Amino acid sequence: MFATQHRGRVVLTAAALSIGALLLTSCSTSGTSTSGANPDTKPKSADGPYGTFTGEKLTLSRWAGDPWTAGQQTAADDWNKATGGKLTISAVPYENLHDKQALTLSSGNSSYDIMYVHPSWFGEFAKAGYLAPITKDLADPKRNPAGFSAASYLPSVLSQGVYKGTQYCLPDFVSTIVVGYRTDLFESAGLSAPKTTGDILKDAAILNGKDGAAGIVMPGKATGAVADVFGSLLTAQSNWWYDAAGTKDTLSTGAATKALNFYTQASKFAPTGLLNMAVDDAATVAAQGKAAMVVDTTPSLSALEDPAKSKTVGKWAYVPLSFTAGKPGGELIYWNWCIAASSKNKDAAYSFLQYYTDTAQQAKVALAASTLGATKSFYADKEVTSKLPFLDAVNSALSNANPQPSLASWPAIQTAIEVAVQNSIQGKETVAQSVADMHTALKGLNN
Amino acid sequence: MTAIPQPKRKRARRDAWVIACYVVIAIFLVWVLVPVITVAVNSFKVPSAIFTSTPQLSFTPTLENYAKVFGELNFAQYLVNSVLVAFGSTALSLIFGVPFAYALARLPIRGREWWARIILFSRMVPAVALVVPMFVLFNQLHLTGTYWALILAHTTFNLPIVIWMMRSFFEELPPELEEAALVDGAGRFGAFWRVAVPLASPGMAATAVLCIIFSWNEFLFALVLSNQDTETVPVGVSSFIGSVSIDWGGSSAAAIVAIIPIFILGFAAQRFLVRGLTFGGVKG
Repeated sequence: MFATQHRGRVVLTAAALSIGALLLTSCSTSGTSTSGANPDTKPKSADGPYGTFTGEKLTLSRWAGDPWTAGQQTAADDWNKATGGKLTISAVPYENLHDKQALTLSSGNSSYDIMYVHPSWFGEFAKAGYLAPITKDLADPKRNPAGFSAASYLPSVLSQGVYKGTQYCLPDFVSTIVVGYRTDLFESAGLSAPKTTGDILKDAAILNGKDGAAGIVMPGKATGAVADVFGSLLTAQSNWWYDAAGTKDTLSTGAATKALNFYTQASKFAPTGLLNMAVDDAATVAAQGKAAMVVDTTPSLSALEDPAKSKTVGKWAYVPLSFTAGKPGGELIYWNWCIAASSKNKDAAYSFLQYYTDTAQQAKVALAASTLGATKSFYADKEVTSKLPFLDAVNSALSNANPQPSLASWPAIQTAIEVAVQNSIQGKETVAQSVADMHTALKGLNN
Repeated sequence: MTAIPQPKRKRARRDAWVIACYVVIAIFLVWVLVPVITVAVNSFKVPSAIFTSTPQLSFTPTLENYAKVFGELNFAQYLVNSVLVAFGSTALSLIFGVPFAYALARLPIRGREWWARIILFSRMVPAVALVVPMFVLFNQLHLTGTYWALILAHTTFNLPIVIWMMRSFFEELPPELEEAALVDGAGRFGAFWRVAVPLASPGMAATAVLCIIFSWNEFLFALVLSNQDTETVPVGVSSFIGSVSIDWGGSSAAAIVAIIPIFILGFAAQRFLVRGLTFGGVKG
């Protein structure tokens, strides 16, 4: 009796398990499939993507989150419709992105086709052979719109995707750090637009506490933005972290001291909780009318002019960071998109990158996210540029700009620099001690 | 004349003890629930209402964050993935772990204490030390990015829990019941399947709930071994953490959505949990 009933149950259990296994296997993802691809097909519409890639499945690896990234999903959806391909975005938290990409690429059969590659790990990936060169694609007239080539991009930005003379990546989402100030508050206080960091501190002291607003707000949280602001302050003094080869600490103690003095002094007129504020938090504070000035990245500053997020729409004007009037500076912030060397869909990947980084798509992104394109023709598009209130300030800052450091050791150095800034703000260290900490951190450049 | 005050004193002491217990429980509940309630409240706030120097209790609630969770993020897919992985891993752990535990509890295996300890060892190794070897292994097997990779990885950690908990439950059962089944003609497997397993089912239910909770909340393996089609709930929740910003409203809404299935499961399995977790707890 036991044996018969037991056998029945075992058979049932085995059947259920087999069905489960089959279901799971069928639900699990398959690899890429290719069929019906012709990379040379002309676009069906003006500014559309090149090629037909029916049935090709691509994966774009990027970081998750950030409010201004939805534009890429829209571009991917449009590209899918136009080419018949299927581009999916694989997003993981930024702090895990490098490790996930490195691990996946090191296996040699990565599922990634397109990747966001941060400047600090671009060199590492290019050296390891994880990236596919795109020099030929850029020069191929059949794969690009008439007249489009490497020369269509801003040379200073495109060159960030070059490793040992070979182009690997295409840039977009150009931005920098600028200063936003409330025109209504400045006007009622009889102040003119701040021209230098000295003006900013003076104005912040005057406006601090008026109408319930702090004098100034800027990022204080160690997420990279503090180093970006600090880098802009250095560039405005014609100084930079390291030399052109990226091997020697060139930080001037005098310039660093002036920059840190500004950061520390400004923090005295900032709202409480500054050290917990990332770029979007600082922008939210400003948008809610709780600060008279804001030092931030332009994508974050888009919140100031967004009626859904801001109580202060139309009350802002923008100037670059300058220590001396007429000598602005900024850090060149951009995104770099590369094709994986192990991608089985390189043609399709290039088609998307060309389409996404070209002016038409970047105009859409710019209006939504307050950035600038990386192509020259972007700046000739008056319809777009006239809608960007910070354009003059950004252009002015980028006339004297250094790109984000492209060194494998930079993330660790950057953290140390940001901690040094925070220590000075909190009064845990003197400005001189914090600057010394920065020098110590920069000694790790070659490590 | 007799000691009337004594019961009063006793009652007073007992009341004081009860009050102290309530105070401790209240403190514990506040400690545990306040963060969850804060997250729940934040999930209905717009960003400007979240980022205030003093927490705002009066605000206009919005479903914007939940719309983001199910719209932009397609959180339903993460939930489906988590259900498949959690239940798959739990099923696999029970299928292998329960017989193993029974064998350790009942069969005369030489050095069974050592076997049990060796199994527990896999729980002692930090997950971060195993993630790269597992990635390499699953990659060689072409399993990375599939549900199987996550199910097998989570089984690695769930199996020792199952074996250790179920072993304790089986040891609590009177062996006479299985001996009676053996006398009635059942084999050892029959005695296990027909007698021991039904009797230990509350313990199995409790163990299964713990395995599901572990698998549901596991982040590291889910991040490394999955791809965009198989990512689970914790990876989905972390999607609101950007490079330089955190969408507190979105992540709060995602966290609440992630809690609900486990909350329902825990509530439904409460009876088994109480019975199961106390079942193997007392040894004679």
